[in-house]
Amino acid sequence: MQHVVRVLVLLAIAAGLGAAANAVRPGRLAWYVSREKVYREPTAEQRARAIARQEIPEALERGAVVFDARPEEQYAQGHLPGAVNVPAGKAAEQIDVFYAYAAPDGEVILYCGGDECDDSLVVHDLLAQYGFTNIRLYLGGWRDWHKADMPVQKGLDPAGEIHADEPADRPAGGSASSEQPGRSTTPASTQEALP
Amino acid sequence: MTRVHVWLWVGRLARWTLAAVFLYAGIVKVLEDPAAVAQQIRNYRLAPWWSVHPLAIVLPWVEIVAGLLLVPGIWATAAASLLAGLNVVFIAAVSWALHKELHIQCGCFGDDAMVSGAHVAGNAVLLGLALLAIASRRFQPQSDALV
Repeated sequence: MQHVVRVLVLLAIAAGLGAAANAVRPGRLAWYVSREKVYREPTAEQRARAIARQEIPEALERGAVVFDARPEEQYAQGHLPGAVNVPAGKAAEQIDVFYAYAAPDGEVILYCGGDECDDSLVVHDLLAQYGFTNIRLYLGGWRDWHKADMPVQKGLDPAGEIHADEPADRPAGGSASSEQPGRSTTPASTQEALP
Repeated sequence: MTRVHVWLWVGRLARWTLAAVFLYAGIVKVLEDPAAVAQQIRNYRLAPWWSVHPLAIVLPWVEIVAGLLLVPGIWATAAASLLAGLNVVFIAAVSWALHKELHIQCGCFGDDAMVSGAHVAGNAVLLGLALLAIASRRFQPQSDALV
């Protein structure tokens, strides 16, 4: 019983220290946020407009642009060919990147880790605020793509190895440019599968 | 060396190793953006929605407080029990993430390492150390005295 009381006291001390530290730090965290802000779910409309894995190559053929909302490190380890990385946490400050790669009325595909990840939902809402009207979510995300042994690209450059005939001045991911990058069409022989 | 002395030193080494690991883990999380810590907890999709932010605020300090107490051995049984409980939760959470094939960051030490079997193994070792630290207290001349 004595140890149980001590455990509770330790927890109380930790809670007090945590509250004090949180109160004084600049980026303090709110103790309470609504359920929708913690575990976001796609709306019925977003689900209806979602794109399946099998439809993505065709969408790329007609000019859709794919954005990867995961952190940079995960993107570099593997992503959909031609996808441009704009991590959800930086999307607001990198809105120019979206304009550089896609027209507001152009088809935009967003994905993140999988259906447990809501980074793509965060970016979706942001793009909708900035006037993008044709946004489709790939809800299965990277996990679905990877599980299906689809072609992947690695590194930080969205216009990496899969396009052998790219112009030399094609912008790397994250830099604003008026030039639209090419899209991955059919899986190229230069693409590599994840180990 | 008597059996008591052996257990005494086993307990000390277990405590100090646990303390070092959890002090490091707690401090790294405190220095990190709290929103990032909350995101790492959210990624597991296990914690109730109302608990995510409180956990992100309090959990690092649980690690630090328990780690600090383990160094001199103050309330060592309670501190080690707390960390043992945390390790059980971490093992369960990471195992769940691996089972569901979630491609998420572990969030263990504030780094970007993705969840893997190594994290389960590592936490199992830490759990073992916590249990050793608790078991060795039987051989203390006084319970939870400074050593």
